[in-house]
Amino acid sequence: MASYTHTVEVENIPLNEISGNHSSSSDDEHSHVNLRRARTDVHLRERHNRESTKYHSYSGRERRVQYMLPSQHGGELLSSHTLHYGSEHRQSAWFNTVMARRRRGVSPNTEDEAVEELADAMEGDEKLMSENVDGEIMRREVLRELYKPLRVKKEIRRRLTARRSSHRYSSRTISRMQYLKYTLSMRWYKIRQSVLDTFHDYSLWHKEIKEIEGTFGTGVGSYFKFLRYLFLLNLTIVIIVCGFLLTPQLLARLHDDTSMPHTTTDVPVTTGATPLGFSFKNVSGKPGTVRVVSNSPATTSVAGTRRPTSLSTTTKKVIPSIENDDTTKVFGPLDWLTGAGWFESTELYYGTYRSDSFSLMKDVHYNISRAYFFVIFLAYVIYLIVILHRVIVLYKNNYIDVEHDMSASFVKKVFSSWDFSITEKKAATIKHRSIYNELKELLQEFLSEEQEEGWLRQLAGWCIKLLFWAIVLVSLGLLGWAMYAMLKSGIDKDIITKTDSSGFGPLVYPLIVTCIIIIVPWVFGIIVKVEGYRIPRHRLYVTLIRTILLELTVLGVLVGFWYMHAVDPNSTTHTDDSNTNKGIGDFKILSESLQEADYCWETSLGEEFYRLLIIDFFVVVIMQLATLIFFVATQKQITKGKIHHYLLEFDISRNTLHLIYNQTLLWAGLFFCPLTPVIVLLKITIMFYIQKFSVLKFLQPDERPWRAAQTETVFFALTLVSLILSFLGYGFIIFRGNASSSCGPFQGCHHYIDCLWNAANNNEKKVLNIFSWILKPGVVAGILGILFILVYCAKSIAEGRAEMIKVLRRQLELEVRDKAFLLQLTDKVRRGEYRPASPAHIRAASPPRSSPAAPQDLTQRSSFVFTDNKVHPVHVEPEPRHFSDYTDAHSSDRYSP
Amino acid sequence: MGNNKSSFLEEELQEYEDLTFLTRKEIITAWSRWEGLIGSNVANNKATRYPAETIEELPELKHNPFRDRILRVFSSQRDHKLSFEDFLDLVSVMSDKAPLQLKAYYAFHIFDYNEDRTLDGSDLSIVVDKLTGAEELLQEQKKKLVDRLLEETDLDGGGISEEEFKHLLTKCPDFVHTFRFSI
Repeated sequence: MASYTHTVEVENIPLNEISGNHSSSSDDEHSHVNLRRARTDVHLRERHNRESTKYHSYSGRERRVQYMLPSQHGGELLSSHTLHYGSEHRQSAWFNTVMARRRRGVSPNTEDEAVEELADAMEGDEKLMSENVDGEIMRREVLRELYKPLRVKKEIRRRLTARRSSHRYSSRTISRMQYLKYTLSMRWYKIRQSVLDTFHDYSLWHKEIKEIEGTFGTGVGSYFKFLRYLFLLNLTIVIIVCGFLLTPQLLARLHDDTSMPHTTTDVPVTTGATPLGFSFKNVSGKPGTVRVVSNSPATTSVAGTRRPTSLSTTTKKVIPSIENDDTTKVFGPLDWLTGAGWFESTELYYGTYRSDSFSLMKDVHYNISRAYFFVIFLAYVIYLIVILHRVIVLYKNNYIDVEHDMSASFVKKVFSSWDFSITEKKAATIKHRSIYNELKELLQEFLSEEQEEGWLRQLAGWCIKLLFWAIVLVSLGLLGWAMYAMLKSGIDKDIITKTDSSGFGPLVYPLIVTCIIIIVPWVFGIIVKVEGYRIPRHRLYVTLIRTILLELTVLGVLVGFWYMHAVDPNSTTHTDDSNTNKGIGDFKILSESLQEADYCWETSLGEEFYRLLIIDFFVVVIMQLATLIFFVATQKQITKGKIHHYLLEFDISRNTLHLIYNQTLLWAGLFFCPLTPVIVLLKITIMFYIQKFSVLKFLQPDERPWRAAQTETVFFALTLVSLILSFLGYGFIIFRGNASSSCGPFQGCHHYIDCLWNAANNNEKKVLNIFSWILKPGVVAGILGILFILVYCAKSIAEGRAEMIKVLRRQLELEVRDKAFLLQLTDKVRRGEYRPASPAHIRAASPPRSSPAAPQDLTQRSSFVFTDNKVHPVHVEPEPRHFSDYTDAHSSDRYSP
Repeated sequence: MGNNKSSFLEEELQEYEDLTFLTRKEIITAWSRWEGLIGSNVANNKATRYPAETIEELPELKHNPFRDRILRVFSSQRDHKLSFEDFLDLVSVMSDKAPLQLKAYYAFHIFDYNEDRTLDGSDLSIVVDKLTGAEELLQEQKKKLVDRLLEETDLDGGGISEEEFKHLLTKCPDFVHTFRFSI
């Protein structure tokens, strides 16, 4: 046999059709039967054997041929719009037109030609040129996303507009109505765009964040962006709380004052006016005049006349001091820190809010207790929805879509490691060093991958980790118990020594808590290094989880303690005693009237939260100051040790965790101290400037690499966890907790929810029923279950896709080998090593529609059949040919059986 | 900003706004930055081209190891010079609003040092060199790295092609966070 035909099938074309004509060689048949199978095997074997060298790398000449392939020109033109991943998968018509031209081998040589071609193609696209807003928007998007310089885009746009206007002129088919509609919707689109642009341009702290990113890179920038996010979120809540809760309450006070003037208390108002008004202004950020009046004892005495038996402890504290004409006692300087004393009678805490409705106009009633319930509930729900949404988006983008294609982790590290926003030399140097370290770390990882660890070693590693986890958990438990004991002894001591609660005493507990919150995470950071997690990211995650557990323990103990304290009847009487005794001696009558009223535990808890927030703030400020002093002191020293470096480093994760802690405090304290969002808002604002100053002036950027995307997701997830826990705690207290019977909006009810029940009419009861039904444990569990199922489904879909990706990848590799083979072959043909078969033979071997002569068919895979007619020298017996032959010429003998 | 606005005609501004991912304010800021680079009295023509060395002085580019490539890729006539419109292109691609695919397209060409439309071993080793800056990896370490890189991603041999590169970056959420700066 002189000629030898080797037919390769790329897609499933019936083999008989082709090979039937020349059933000459038996090994031909053999290679067809197990074709697909054999390819895969060969491929895998090969990859394994020849690790780093590519099996199908081209030599120089073939490479040149490769660039002539149509597929190499496709990418140049693709505009990202056509490749949108997700919903929009279809490529637009103009793009297909251009691609069709490319396939025919037509490509523009000069820029003018390119412009002409694109403009023509776009002109032909009906959807793109349609005379409505969609068309307009589409045109804008398409041009924007074209991979061409601005000049070319401008030219194309000009031509399109010119043609469009001439077109419109020639066919005046649009009615007046349509035209109006078009103009209106176009204007609407423009307005929307400009509003969005304005938000973009004047986004909060835009300049500051840019500056920080320039000097520190996006890692530190992400911390500040998180801060801004929380600020905006809290701002919304502040507006809601102030608008629907604080203002009505103040109006009610004002209303009472003006309608029932009390002459006896006029004098103290004037004496107390300036300090009170001024100081309160700082807390709430509102004009002080209303508060001055509202804070006057008039209110309390009004309350007293209306409800003589239910004077709260707060009332008691204010009245005696005013009547002693001792204004400093009304507002002691320490009250700032403790949140007690004068603050107790303000709207800062739960206890001051009224339980009745008032009406400014006739027949319009505003029930404060209901408002209290709904505003707080609404605030939680808003927080929940916003953060949940954010977590879902981040999780989807950064985990589900990404996770399963881990093949390229290394490439990612190279291509996305440089931070293009860096503008400072110092930052650039540090970035270089950090990338260097990371790459070295990666190389080491490869090495350790290659030498598998023994199972004994692995087991030992696991044991160590388990042991450390146990230690951490036990110590957290002990810590919680210690806190509880401390709180209890603090209360007991109060009773014994009868100290005034406005002294330094109450500050001890929050001070300790804050120190714990700041110091223990450092310890965790050290522990985790000993434990031997190999991947730095795991180290970070473990530390994060532990820190969050710590915070939850501390806050859980705090809330739990006060709650139990309130529920437990023994302790209530204790506090009663303590309260009555705390008063200044000569108010026996008042104290007696207080005997039956119990202690307002919500207010006390609110005070605790206030103190935690304030002390935390001061500690942070002091620490920053200390760092500054340290910096100034050591600036002249030439030798800068490790500790120096450590202290002057901006640790992103620690700082972000601190923000989350603050936010958790807010959520936990929201019910007891409804103005926490205001405090946190102010705090965040001040923190922003302090941090900015210290970051820009004397701190060093973190040298460790910071993977913003995935870490951000984890941080948000942690925020969500703490929010959900606070929300559940709130729900529990609302339904099961015992309301203080003498203070706050829910006074006189056993459970909080009862008040709403009593006040509601039939319609509202239905709503309430729904609420309570939603908050039932079973329902909550059900909702969570559904969520879990949804997440599970999403994950399985992603896994399915990952499988598919693997299959397609393999397929692609095979096709690529085909391509390499073809290129080699064409090259050989050109060099004359192959003699093309006679035309008759080709006709017989392949149906005309798939003749390889037409270049455009090369890309249409479904109809592509290649026939290799090789003329062997007569004296040599043709070797049996197999698929593996066409990898490259030198290695063919290696894989043939 | 007020007097800067006068350097643009209304239609011009509108056109730039339509064709880039920038807002009106950003375009004006870009203009003032541009004037800061080349001197305000010289240029009022948006198409006049200036040598890349002048534009390199932009803080965002000054310390970027890929600045020469960036300027080359964004020079629309490949003549080592940039006009204001080229500069606007650069700022637009680097803005937050530019889609990932567009960023990836330009990133690909920036990393493609030998301009053969594939990222091969030689390109990658230069990229790694530029990334590590002063502290260079050993030759063999670099080779191992590059080999590994190609092995992980390169499906069709002969280097990473543009489409492969784009696909890769869609799986890489960090890229959009780093391949950006705001004007």
